[in-house]
Amino acid sequence: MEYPLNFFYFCFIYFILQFITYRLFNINISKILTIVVLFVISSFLIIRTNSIDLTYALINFNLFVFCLYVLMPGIINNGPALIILDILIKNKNHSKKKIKSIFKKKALSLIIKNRLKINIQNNFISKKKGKIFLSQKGRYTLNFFSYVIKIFKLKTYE
Amino acid sequence: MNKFDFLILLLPFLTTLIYVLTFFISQSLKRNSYLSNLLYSFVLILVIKIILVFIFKDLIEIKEFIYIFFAYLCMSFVFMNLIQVPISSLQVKILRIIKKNNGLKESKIFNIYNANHIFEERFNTLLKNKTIKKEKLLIRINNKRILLFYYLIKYIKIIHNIKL
Repeated sequence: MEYPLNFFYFCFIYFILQFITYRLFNINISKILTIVVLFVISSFLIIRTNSIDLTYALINFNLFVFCLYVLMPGIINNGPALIILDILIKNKNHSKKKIKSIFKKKALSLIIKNRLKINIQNNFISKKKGKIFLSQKGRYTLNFFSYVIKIFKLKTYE
Repeated sequence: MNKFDFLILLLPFLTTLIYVLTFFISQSLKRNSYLSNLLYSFVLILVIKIILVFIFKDLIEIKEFIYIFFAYLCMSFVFMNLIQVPISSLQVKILRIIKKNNGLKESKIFNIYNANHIFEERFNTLLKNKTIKKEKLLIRINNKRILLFYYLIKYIKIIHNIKL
């Protein structure tokens, strides 16, 4: 199969696989492990075939998989801005107070609870006797992002 | 692989690097918001790439064209997310709160940071970047382009069977 056809097929099959596994089994296949496995297989294929067309296709395919990995948390978890927009689109004549009360009903404490759960699952924080502690991994992640903020002179919500 | 193929192979990576540098310079100049800088830098590099491809159109085939642009789009998307995460990610915000108050009880986190805080933060940001506007007491969507992203995310959520 010639490039770019093979590349579109790879991406299409991966995307179909992604939403079928999520719909049927509630499993998100876009994980670091998937990325690493696909990268190793792609590198092996590129070295074995020495084809420039396949190299283009596999680089693009790996990048597509990485983009889905980045995109999926935003799809699985409802972001607050998205909830506010959803309220505004469904109810066109609302005051700030009314939007806030719908937001609180919709979001409750689920947003924070959900993010805490994800942080624990990813070993960014640990829970001991009801108390929450930052792990080494969490510390490294925060340090990395503080470098990004400093380098690009960004402003956070703080 | 000849030298030309190798150059084409490297081109998206180099242009993404130039995109990062352009964003860095525009942030140092502090003329626009980071979101505008992120988008303008992306479009600028994209236009330069289109011009370059047009100049060398006799040398570049459709397969190379697709590779160059798709790879650039993907890498730019990842970079935009990398910039966005420390600014608006709730997960990172919670990590920062825990870093400041290590050993905090779970219930106390909800006192420090809850739905009220999140709403105020996001509502003010949406007002500031003119995505929404106040008309007397009513709130309306001002930037219709945001609807495109809204429906795109909603559609992807629907096919994954995730409720908004």
